[in-house]
This record gives sequence, structure tokens and C-alpha cells, in this order.
Amino acid sequence: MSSKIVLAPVANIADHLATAGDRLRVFDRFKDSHAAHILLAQRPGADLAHFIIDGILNTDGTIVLLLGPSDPEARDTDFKVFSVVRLLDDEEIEVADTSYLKKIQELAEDAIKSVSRENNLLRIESVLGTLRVVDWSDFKVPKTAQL
Amino acid sequence: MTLERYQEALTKNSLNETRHMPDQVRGLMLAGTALEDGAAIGASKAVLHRVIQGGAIGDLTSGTAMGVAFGKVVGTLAANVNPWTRLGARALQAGGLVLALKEIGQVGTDGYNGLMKSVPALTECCNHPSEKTFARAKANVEDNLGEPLADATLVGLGFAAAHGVEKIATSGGGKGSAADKQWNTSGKQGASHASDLSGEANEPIEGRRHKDIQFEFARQAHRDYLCENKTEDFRRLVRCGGDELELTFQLGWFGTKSAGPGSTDSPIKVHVLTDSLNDLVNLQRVLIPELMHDPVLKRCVGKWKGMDPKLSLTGESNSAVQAPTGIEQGAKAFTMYAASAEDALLVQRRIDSIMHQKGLSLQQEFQTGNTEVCPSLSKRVSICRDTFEYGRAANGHPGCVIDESVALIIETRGGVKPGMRLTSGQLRRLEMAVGIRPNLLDYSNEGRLMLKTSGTSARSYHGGFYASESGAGMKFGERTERPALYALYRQFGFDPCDPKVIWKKSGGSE
Repeated sequence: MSSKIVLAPVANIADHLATAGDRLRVFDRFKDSHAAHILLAQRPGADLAHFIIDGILNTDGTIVLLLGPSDPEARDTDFKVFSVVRLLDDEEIEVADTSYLKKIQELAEDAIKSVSRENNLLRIESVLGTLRVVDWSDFKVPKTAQL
Repeated sequence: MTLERYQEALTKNSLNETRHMPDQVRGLMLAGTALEDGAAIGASKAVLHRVIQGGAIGDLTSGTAMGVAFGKVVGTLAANVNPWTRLGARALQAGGLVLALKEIGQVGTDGYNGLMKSVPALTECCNHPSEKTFARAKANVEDNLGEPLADATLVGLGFAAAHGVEKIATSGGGKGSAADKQWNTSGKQGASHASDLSGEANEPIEGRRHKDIQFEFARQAHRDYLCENKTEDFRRLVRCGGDELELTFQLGWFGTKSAGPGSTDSPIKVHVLTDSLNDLVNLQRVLIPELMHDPVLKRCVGKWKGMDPKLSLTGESNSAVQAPTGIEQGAKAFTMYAASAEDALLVQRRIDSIMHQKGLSLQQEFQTGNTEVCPSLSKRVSICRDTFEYGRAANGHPGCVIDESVALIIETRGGVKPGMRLTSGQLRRLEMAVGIRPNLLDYSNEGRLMLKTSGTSARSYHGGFYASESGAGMKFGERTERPALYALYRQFGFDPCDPKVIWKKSGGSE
């Protein structure tokens, strides 16, 4: 069955909904054998949100991340919704707005559907740098953003 | 005598198999075996009568025997589509297990006494089945047993209901009549004369089936709600009865905040199913107000999510939200999370009751393509287990550990002695028998029987391993993930959602 790819100009950060234009701090980035992960929060000490970087685009010099949920239940669907954020620098991202989503819809669909998991990881690391490998048997995602 | 005969009817092998099992497992095993035997023998009609007429209800001390006898009845009853009969069958199934457990001390004296106190009301319902006697029996049993013994409550209720159907069926005609055919184990349906129940006579059963299961409850007007858009269509403020509830966009759904740490950790969750926008409108208008006000739901639902609440008011929705297609995710109008499996079951029963009371029961389950089924009166409220104990095979491959009581039965039937394992050949044969993709059954590092995931991702979730459904193999021989686990459990007579089976106990302890 073909999946439906939906881009959303929002990002769920715990119980808070970050919307277009909101800036969020990047608190950690890492990878496991399966995917690249990113931890976002509004500010130090605030609740952390854990996303999987399901796609990365470079549109005219702007780096765009397509963030999918890390929660396996939320990923267990053919109706796939991704939060779209622009990478401002190593430590900050901005939630994209609706008009921007329309521009990148086709590129994003291609990145999600056509790029293999391995190639996606390579693309991400070519932009963000080599990610440290996490072993889930001794690593637990923190609940709040500690510096 | 009847009970003795039924115990004799269990094969020596079955009894031998259970002899060395722990008491709790033994009771379940006997009831499960009886269920299968009952379906095969197809003699439930006579047995039910004899159990009732022989006064066996007064002899509950033979708990296991009653469990066995009831279990035998269920197999045949379950094949009959008459809603009354289905109600009875389900109740008897639960009842059989409860009574089986009674002998081994799982149901206390209070439960036993409560059930005995209800006998007069049940007898009245059996002798004079009608809306009034049924409602009286229901209230009486509930008063005497209370919520903690909901299964036992169902025993009495189902007992009465099933007997009521039988009585009506037999009074409607002699041997070979249409009513008699309704009980034919071949499953063929004849006309029914269940006029005592509905107060209407001579109407074709197809047209009346839906009414039969709604007869006794007073319909309440839908309380309905108002819904306001917030934050560029990604928040909904729902107003109902002076209360407000904020629902936030949650990657394809609108949902509430979680009630706190651990409040959504149950390995099973509840779904309310839909197949279209028109149907969803009715569901949302009924259920959203109930989720805001019903005391049971407020207490037990740790969080819920669903399709856009604006749909039922305007017919329009945020385009980034799942639409009501009736297929797979598009069938899940609401998903409810709870802190424990027990709470999830309470939620399922409560919502099922609400759906039923509000006239939202279905005549037939939707064919959603999902693993779960709807063992409910309304046929639209399902429970679904998505989390199993986390395990890793010797090669590090992650997956779901099979619950201990289930693995014990599987291994016992495979002739495995305590402390030993099924051989590789036995595992492959088991996969073939259950339709699981080859080489997925294995033993974990800790020596526990497990199903390896067909993927590679380590899906830690709520203290266990998440068994995925979307994209899992569904076809016989190709089953993986959740469909494979469900098939394995069902093959051995277990319900994956049964709290007695689930490794994770109430309160989050593992």
C-alpha cells in the first residue's frame, strides 16, 4: 500500500505545539543502526521532544529537516505526517510555514519515498557531521533538556 | 451427572497435559480445551438445559467442572449470529473461565456469595425472559458482585440471556421448526420468534437483529459539543456542558495531553471504529462529550486521540489529519490509552455500553484490515495489544517475548520438559502450523520463547517491545509482527489482551 506523505508546519514538543516561525534548541543528535535522531526543546530545562530525521533537503542553501515521530506507535501507520523545520545553525531550528511546505512537497515526498535508509543517514551526516552511535541498551533519552 | 459427563468428555491427554501445570494456567487450559471440544461436539443446547434444570447453578463448588461445562457451551453459541446468543456466548466464555478459576481461589468468597444471591433474579429471567426481568437480573447481579467482578457479573447475565433465547426458540416451534434451526450448529439461520424480548412479532429477523440488542436502554439525547479552531487550524477547543477541552494536532490526529507519567503505559489500547464521515459524525457527537464527563472514562483514560472533531460539525477537516476511510488507520475514529490493561478493559466495556445505549451498535463488524477484532456488544469497540515483553535472540535480534503462560502451554504441547526448549525443527513446524514467516520464532538470551521482529529497529515502547501492524505480514505463511503474535496466541486458545496472560501487571510493575 502506498503511503500518504503529509507535511505539517508544527512540531509537538511534549505537550506544547510549536508552530510556524517558532525556534527550538537542538539539544542532541545521534544515530543508531536504523536512523538519525534529534532532540529538541524550547529552552534549557524544558521538556524534550525526540524525533527521527526521516529526510533532509538542501533547497537553495536552506537545509530542511523532515522530522518523524520516534514513538513506534506513531510511526506504525501508512498516513505519514512530518514536521518540517529549517536548520538555522548547529544549535537551532525554526518551524517552517505553510507556504514553504507547498514549495517543497514534491522534493520531500521524493526524499521520504525514494531515498534508502542508508543514503538518508549519509546525507544527514554530510550536513550535520558524523553522528555518535547510541546503543539503546545503555542509553535513555532524557525527559528534559539539560545542558 | 452432566458435569461429570463433561469432565469425562475431556480426553485423558488434555487432563494429563494440565496435571503438572500451575493452578492458574491449569484452569485456563481446561476452559480453553473445553471451548474447542464444545465447538466440535456441538451439543451445547442440551447441556445448557441440563445444567440449568439440574440445579447445577447451586453447586458452584465444583468450579472447574462448571468452567469446563460452560466452556463447551461457548463454542457452539459463538457460531450463532443472533445477538442475544452472542451476548450469552461471550458471557459464558468469561464465566467459564471465572468459574474455573474459582476453585483455585482466584474468585473470593464475596464473589461466590454475590453470585449466589443473584440466583433468584436470574432464575426469574430464565423462566420469564423479558425486558423487565432481564434488566432486573442485570441490576441485581451488578449490585451483588460489583465492578471488580465484572466477568462474574457477565456470567449471570449471559447465563440468563442465553437461556432466554433458548426458551424462546424452543417455545416458538417444535422439533425441526425454524426456531430450532436457529440453534443448528451448522450456523444456518432460520426465522426467529424472539418476540418476548422485543415486543414485536413476525418481523423478519434480518430487520430486527439490530433492534434486539438495543431493546432495554433508554436513549439519551446527544449532548453534543462546540468546537473552535485555534492556532492555524492545529488546535481545537471543544466546549460541552460548561467544560472546555483542548485537543492538539498530533501528527495525523487531534489528541489530549497525557494525564501524567505512566497514565498511558497499558500494553493494550482501545479503538472505536468507523467506516465513513457520516458514521464518524454520530460517533464524535456522542463520544467526545462522554470522554469529557463520564466518570469511568475520566478516571481510566490516560489520554485519547482521534480524527478531527471539527469534522462532525462542519464536514471539513485539517488536511493533515487522518480521514475516516474505514480501512486500517482510517478505521480508528478514537484511540484510548490507559495506565493498565485492567483500566483499558474497563474503558472498552464502558464505551461499548455507551455505544449500545446511544444506538450506535453495528449489525456487523467493519472489515478494517486490522488485526484486532471487536468482541463487544456494539461491534465497534475493540481492544488491541501492541506491546510485549522485550527480548533479544542470541544473535542480538530484538523482538517480542511470548508471555510465560502461553509459552508454557506451547512447550508442554510440544512435549518439552521443564527447563528444556523446543528444538529448531519444532519451532519451524510451529511457524508452519500458525502461518508465521519462517525463522522468526526463537529463544531469547534468557531462554524465553520469542518472536523476532522482521525489521531491525529496536522498538522500545512502554517498557516492552512494540509489535507493529502497519506493513506487517498478514497472509498465512507470511505472518510477522502483531498478526503473527495474535495468530500464535489464538492457536493455543489465548487472548493476547487478557490481563491474566500479559506479563506487565497493573501498576507498571514488570
